Amino acid sequence: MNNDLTTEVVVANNQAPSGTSAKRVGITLVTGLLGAGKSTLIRRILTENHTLRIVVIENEFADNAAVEEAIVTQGVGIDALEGFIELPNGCICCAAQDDLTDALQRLLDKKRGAFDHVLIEASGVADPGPVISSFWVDEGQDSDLYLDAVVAVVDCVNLQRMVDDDGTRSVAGKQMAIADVVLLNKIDLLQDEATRNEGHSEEIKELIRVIREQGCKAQIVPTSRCNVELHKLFNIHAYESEATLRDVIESDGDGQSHAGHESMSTTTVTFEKRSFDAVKLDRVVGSLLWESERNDEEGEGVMEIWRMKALVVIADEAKKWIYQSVHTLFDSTESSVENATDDVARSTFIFIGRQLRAPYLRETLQQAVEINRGRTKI
Amino acid sequence: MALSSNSTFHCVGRCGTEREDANGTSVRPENNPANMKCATSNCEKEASLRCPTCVKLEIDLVEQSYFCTQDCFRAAWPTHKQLHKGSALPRGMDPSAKRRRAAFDRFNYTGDLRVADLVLPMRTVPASIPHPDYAVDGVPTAEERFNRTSTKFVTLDEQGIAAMRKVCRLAREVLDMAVRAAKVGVTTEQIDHIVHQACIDRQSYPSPLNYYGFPKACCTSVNEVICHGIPDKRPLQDGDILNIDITLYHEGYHGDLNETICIGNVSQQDKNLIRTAHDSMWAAIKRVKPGVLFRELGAYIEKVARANGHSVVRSYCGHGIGEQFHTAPNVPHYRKNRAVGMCKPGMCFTIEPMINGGNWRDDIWPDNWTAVTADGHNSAQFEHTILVTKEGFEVLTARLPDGPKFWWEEEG
Repeated sequence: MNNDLTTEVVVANNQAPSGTSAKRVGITLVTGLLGAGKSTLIRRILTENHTLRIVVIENEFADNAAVEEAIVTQGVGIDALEGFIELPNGCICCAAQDDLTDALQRLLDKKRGAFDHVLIEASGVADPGPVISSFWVDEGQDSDLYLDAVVAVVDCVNLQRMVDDDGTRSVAGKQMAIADVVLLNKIDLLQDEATRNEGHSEEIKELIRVIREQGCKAQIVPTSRCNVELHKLFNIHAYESEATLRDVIESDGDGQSHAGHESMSTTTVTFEKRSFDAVKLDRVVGSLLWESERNDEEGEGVMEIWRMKALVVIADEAKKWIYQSVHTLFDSTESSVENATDDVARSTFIFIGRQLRAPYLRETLQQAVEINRGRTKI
Repeated sequence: MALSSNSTFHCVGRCGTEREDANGTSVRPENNPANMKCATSNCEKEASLRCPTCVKLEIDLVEQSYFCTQDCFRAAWPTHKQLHKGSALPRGMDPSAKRRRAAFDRFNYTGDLRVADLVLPMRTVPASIPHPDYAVDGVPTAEERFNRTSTKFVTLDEQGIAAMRKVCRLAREVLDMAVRAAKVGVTTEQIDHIVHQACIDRQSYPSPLNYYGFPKACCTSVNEVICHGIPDKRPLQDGDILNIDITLYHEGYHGDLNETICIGNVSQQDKNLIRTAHDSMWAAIKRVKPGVLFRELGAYIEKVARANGHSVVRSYCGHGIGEQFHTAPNVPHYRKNRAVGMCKPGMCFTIEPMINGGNWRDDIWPDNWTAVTADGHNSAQFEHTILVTKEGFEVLTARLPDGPKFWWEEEG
C-alpha cells in the first residue's frame, strides 16, 4: 500500500546529497491560525539554501482529529513544491496521522537516511493535542522518528483581537500554551518603528506578556515573514532533552500559579521532603489526564491538562525523575539531578491547561506520596 | 486478532483513476464448464460469454464475469468494471489473481514460507445470523471512532458481561475444534472451512470475515507468520507451528482468542517458543485488577520473553473488545509504552503477546495482512479475552476441561 510513496521519494532522493547516516529523524509540528504565516514558514524552509532533506506534510486535520487530505512534498530546493507525492491511494483518512508515522517509518526502513527532518503543518482550526500525541511514538517502539518540537506561528498584529475572541482564543490559546517555540510573526507590520528595527521594543514585550498569559512557557521568537534560523526550529528535542524540560520546570519553582484569562493557565504544584511511589504516581497522573469529567464536582468547568512537566523525587531512586504529558499520553524518565541537590527534596509539577485547580491537583498527587518516608534517599 | 499498535484505520475509497469503457470491449465466447448464469441481476439466462478483462486479470470472482449477451454486458458495465479495479479496501484482497501474483513476485520473503493459492470468493453467513456493520462493505464504521489516545472506555453492565461470557465460550469451542482438525497434510483453508461452519452452527458470525476486507473466517499463522495469516491451500507440514486465531460475533458481542500448536514433530526450540508465548500472556493476565494501568502489562510480558531469549512484537497489540471487535484500550505487550487507560470492573480486553524466536521486528506481505518476522525466525502467540472484575480478572475464553492439551501437558 505504501509502494507509490516509497518509489516517488526514492526518485526524488536521487538528486539529493547522499548522506546515509542512520541518525534519528525529528518531527516538527507547525500550528497556527489561518493566515498566521504557516505556509510562509514552510515555503521559506523549502526554498532556503540548506543541506537538509525535509519531508513536508500538509495536513487538514479535522476537528475530530481525522485527516481529510494529506499531501507530501519532498523539499529539496526551489522546485520542491512541484514534487507532490500523494500518500497511499491518494488520500488518507480517519485516524490516519498514525498511518503517517507508519508510512514514514517504512520509508526509513527501506532507505536509511532518505530524509533528515519531517515538518508537519496542522490546519489552523485543529486542536493540536491529538495530532501532537500521535507523533509521540512509544519509546518501546525504538523508532527512528522522534517528536522534535511543536512550533506555533502567531500573527502579532491580530494577537490581541484573537485573544479577546472566545472562539479563536480557545484554539490559538491552546496552540501557544503547548508549543515549544512560538514564532511571533509579522513584527514588520507593527506601528512602532523601534520594534521593526530592533525586535525587542515595549510593544513586543507587551505582546509577549499577552502570550505568556495564555499559559505559554515556550521560547518566543519575534520574526518578520517567518524569517527564522532553522536551528531555532529543528533539533530542539523538546520531549527528550532534559535541559529543555528542566529549563521550564526550574524556572518556575516558586509555587506560583499564573492565570491570565480565567480559564487558561499554568499551575505549579510543589512538594517538599516527600518522595513519590512510582507506580502510584503513574496511576494518579493517568487519572488526572483521563478522567477529567470526574473532577468537575463543583461545576466550575472540566479541568483539562494539555501539557505537564515535572521533576519528581521518587522513592528508592537516587536521582529525580522527569514526568511529562501531552494530550492523554504521559511518560517518565530518570534525570541526571541527584535528589540531594536541594536540601528540601523538592518535587515540582507544572501543569498547562484549562480550569486547572491547584488544590485538586495537589490533593490527587498527594495520594502517590510514598508512605514510608524512612526509605527516601534524600 | 491483534490490533496494529498505532490503532490505525485504513483509507477506504476507490482512489484509482484508471478509466475503462465498455464501448469497444466485447464479451468473448468462453468455455463455461459450470453452466454459469448471466451475471446481470434478474437475468437467469445461461451465459457462455466472458468479460475479456476478467479473463486477462484472472478475476477470482468467476460467477461475476459471465454474461449471456453483449447487451447484458454493456448494461452491466458501469458496475461490473469496478471489479477490475481491485478491492475497494486497501487491506482487502485484490480479486485479480494476476495482480496478486505480480505483487508477490516482487516481494522479498523474510523466511521459507511462500504465499499459496487463496481460495476465493468469500464464504457467506446466513442472513438470519446478526452481522457486524463491516460485513457488507468491510468498514467497521462504529469502531473507527477510537484511536490510540482515546480515553473513552466501555464498562459492561451485567447483561453485557453475560453476553461476553457466552460469545467467548462459543469462541473457545470453535478454537478447540480447529485445533483438533489441524494435522499434517490438512490445509489451513480446510481449517477455515470447519471454523466457518462451526460459527454458523453456533448462530455466530466469524468476526474476521470481511473485517477491512479480510477474506476468511479465521487467521492461521504458520511458522514465521506473526499474526493475520490468511487460510490458503498450503498443507500443514510436519514440524510446523500454527497459530489459529478465532473471533465470533454472537448476539451483538465479539469474543476473541488464539493458541499456537505443534503440527507433528516440532523442534524443542519452537516448543520453547510456544511455551514462552503462553507463559508471558499469563504473566500479564495475573496482574489485571482494578487500578492497574494498561501500560504496566507489557513489562511483565517482556520480562518472561527476555528471560527465555525471545522478543516481543511491537506492531500489534491487545485491544478492547465487546460490541466492537477492536476498540479502546490499546494494550501493548512491550515495555516503555504510553498506553492510555486504567483497569475498571466491567472492562473487557484481550492480552495476546506475539513472541519471536529472533528479533522483534516485523514485515508485512503484499496482501497487506500477513505479518511475518523480519528475520524469518518463527513466532508464537496466545490470546485470551479478559474481563476486569472487582477482585481481579475473569478469563472469558478459559479452556474447557475436555479441551485439547498443550504440548507440555501431553508430554508432562
